[in-house]
Amino acid sequence: MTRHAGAPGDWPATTPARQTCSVNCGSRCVLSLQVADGRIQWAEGDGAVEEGDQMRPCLRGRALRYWLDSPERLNAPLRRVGPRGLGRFEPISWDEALDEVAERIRGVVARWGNEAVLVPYATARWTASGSPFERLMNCYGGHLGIYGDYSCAQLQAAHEALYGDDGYYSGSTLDEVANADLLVVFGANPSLTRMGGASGAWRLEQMREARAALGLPLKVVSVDPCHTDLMSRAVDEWLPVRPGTDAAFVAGVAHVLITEGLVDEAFVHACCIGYDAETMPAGVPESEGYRAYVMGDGPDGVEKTPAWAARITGCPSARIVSFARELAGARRAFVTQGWGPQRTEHGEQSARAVCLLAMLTGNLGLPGTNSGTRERLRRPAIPDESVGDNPVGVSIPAFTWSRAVEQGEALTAESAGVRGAERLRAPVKLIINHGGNALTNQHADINRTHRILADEGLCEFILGVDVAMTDSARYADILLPDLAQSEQAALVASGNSDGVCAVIDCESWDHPAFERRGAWDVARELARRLGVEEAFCAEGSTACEVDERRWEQGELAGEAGAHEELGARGVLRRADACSQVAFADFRADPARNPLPTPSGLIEIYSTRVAALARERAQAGISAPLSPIPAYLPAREGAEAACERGMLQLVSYHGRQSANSSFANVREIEEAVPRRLSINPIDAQRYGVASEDQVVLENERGALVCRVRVTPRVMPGVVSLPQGAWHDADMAGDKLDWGGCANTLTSDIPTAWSCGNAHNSCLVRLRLLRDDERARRAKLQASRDDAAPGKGEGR
Amino acid sequence: MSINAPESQFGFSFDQKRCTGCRTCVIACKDYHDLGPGIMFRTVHEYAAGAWRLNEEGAWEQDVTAFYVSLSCSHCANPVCLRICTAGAVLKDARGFVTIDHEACTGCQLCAVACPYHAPRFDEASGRVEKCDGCSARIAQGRAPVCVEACPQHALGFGLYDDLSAGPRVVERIAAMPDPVITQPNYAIEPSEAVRGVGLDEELMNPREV
Repeated sequence: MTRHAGAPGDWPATTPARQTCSVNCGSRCVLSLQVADGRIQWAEGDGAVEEGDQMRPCLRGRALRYWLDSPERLNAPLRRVGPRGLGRFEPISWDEALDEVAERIRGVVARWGNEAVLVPYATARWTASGSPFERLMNCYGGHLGIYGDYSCAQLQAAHEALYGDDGYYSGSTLDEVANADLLVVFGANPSLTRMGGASGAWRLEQMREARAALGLPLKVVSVDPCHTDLMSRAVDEWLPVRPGTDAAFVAGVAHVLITEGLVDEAFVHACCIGYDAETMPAGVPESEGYRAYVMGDGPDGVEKTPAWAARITGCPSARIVSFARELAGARRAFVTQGWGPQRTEHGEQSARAVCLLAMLTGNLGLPGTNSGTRERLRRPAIPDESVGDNPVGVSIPAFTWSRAVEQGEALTAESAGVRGAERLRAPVKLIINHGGNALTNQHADINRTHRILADEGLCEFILGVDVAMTDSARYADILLPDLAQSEQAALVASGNSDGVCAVIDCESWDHPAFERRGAWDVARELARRLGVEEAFCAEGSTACEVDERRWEQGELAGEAGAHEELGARGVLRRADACSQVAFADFRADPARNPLPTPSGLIEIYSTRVAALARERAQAGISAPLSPIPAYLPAREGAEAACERGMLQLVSYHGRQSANSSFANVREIEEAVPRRLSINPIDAQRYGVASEDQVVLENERGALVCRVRVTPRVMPGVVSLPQGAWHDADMAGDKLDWGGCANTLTSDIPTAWSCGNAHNSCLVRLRLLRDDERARRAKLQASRDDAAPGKGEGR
Repeated sequence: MSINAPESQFGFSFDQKRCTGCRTCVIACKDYHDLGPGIMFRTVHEYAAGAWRLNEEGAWEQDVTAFYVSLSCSHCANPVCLRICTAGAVLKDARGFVTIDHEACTGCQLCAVACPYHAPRFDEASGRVEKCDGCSARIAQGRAPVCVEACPQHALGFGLYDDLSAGPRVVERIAAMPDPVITQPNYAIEPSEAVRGVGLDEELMNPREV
């Protein structure tokens, strides 16, 4: 008999604990965990207020107990035995572990300097944000910094060039869609990336229904290799384009706008540089402007007609023409993009090109419009935990850390985007990886990265601090078991994608602790051993004291009664009062409200990129850089796929996991299994059917996955939800049975922003062979399931 | 076996245009009812249709459409599971909920085979059949079924079926769903515009999951 099937009196008595998920999904949803006997029995959602305001958790939040109880949880401190990266450990005591870690930090800093210590990109400790280990290192002389991220490094650089800021906070808020009659979306599926109940998917739906009720239906156009869940109305239109070809699509649209006189020239002439003769920066000929590029008057002499764009993108020219007219004819169009298109080899070009559509049609700075970037993210209602200032002023792009391990001093400002120094003074010799799976799983080219990390002559020591035995955790020399954020008391702000301003007072509960310890206390113990405990505790000597400081610095602290309300209700929520139209002041008066670009205007021709290209050329570095948002074919792009007879792989955010968090939960996999989407035309060509096990491979590696044949992905493209846990015999054939997309992706940083180009990835596909199945079965049988630290949680 | 009409009839409703196929309903149900491996009372069916053709300029013409149906027990007015059960283990109560008497169930699975919606599910651990009970006890406490409360898109609803089915656009069958004549389901669906007809060329994309 199922639980709750009988009379309520027979149900298990539980104690509720208010909590939230703590992963990098952009939302913080409210959970009421029903706890008994030291376990979550089940979870209730956010039932406290009227339906419309609820922060309803998605399937992952509802599966929290399966995650926290998973056999992959770490329960005791571990020390590596055997070669690094093979995941063999022995349990040790906390004192032994902490003494050894402190000694290694002291030793590396003494020999190589603080610049040899890296706290890499890690986002699974997102809730209370700032890493206590970053704070620890900042108190102990600093560490090599990172800038940018794995989410949208290319878009940040592109936006910086166009508008002078990184784009996270300058876009229009999503509520402006209510004032638009056309929503143009490049590579975004809010039903996958804004799933939380207060986030984008539900807010967009509410706006569509509100407009429909007024007789003003909103049309959505999706430019995307995949058919998304946004396509829910008869009026909606899907324009499939091959991955990485967005800039070609835009050039084709621009050709129609120009030849049919549909460009809003008054706007472009007043607000932009680099479009035509009237707007070129001093000393730059008209032939290098965007209009000349489109009309065939530029250096390449190619006219970017819709037929030209159709050949590259795969989108019919008739559709390009009708879309261009529709965009120009819209009263207000909200042009936006997700972070998938820019996560390509020339993603900076794609990102800028999408923004161009807003400019050319004057859909910028007015109600119902956007700048072409993603909708504005919300800053948290209470600030992140402070990590202090980093005395080491040198930083590298977040994605290039493995090169800093491998090549050290060879990384320069020109070649690798090093900031704060001409070149690195030391290679990375010590890594503190807290709550991150980006050493391998979420990084790229896992097999190459494995070789770098496994070489103990390169990085000398890796400290792992995590809740679970992730693939990255397997590379630790000392591995410390963290408490999950959802097991600890903390003040948590609503997420950056949530359309609400909220603070959640998360409660600790009677959870099984084994030997797990909260990261803040662990970092403090290390600070004590390194003689910097006083500095470490300057903002509070416990995590709760730190939270008090965060509350005082938050935007609701000054509101009378707010603190009392938080205490009484546990969740303090206010309507998001930060509605914004991107660059409205600038458009109203560009002279009085200049942008922080060199010209003060929108730089369609970027003088900064032109300068960067010259610097690179002088340094003898060949890099394809274009000052305008021209289409640049990629090494692993649509043309190369065609020439080499390969498929383009798109690795997207699936429902199953937030990056790799929750990807080990069997109950989620059962409800919505990971499948490789392949078009029926390709399925026929490769002789595969739904549920077949196939191998995807390229020169970097091979993975195993199951197929779903579906018309929802365009021919020539296969799509795989990213985040699956890498599972390969790294001492053997390295075939990844976990189906982790980054077994196949390249770790070569993009030429401009040194970002990750995960969606420029060519693959071959074949059916799994029987000998591979047999080898796996043999390995499974011989695997030592009793490895310490695994399986003790149940 | 004749079925007495209940005093009132419970039903679910589904606003299809809101559904993004996220499966939160599936997991919330599984979590709340503590269902074991392999068992889900509520499932999400993904349908897609459309043809692809390479045109003369080397670009792709297509007319793809897709939509989801979240499906659980529809607490039918004429439940075939009840009719077929020789052990008398399937009950329909005064509020219209169709439930299983676990003491009486022999685990023969005739009901599971007969139900066109595959609502009854065999639990290997108990050797019995289990199914959605509409969270009837939860409703009696003034709450909504857990799937309804969980839906981040507010697509699922519940109530008296007479009220739910009164909407002008409500249907009981879309796409490749079974003919409602068979069991008279109490599931009020407001179809999405992405559904272009009944039983045309839409194909179930995820038969293994449902």
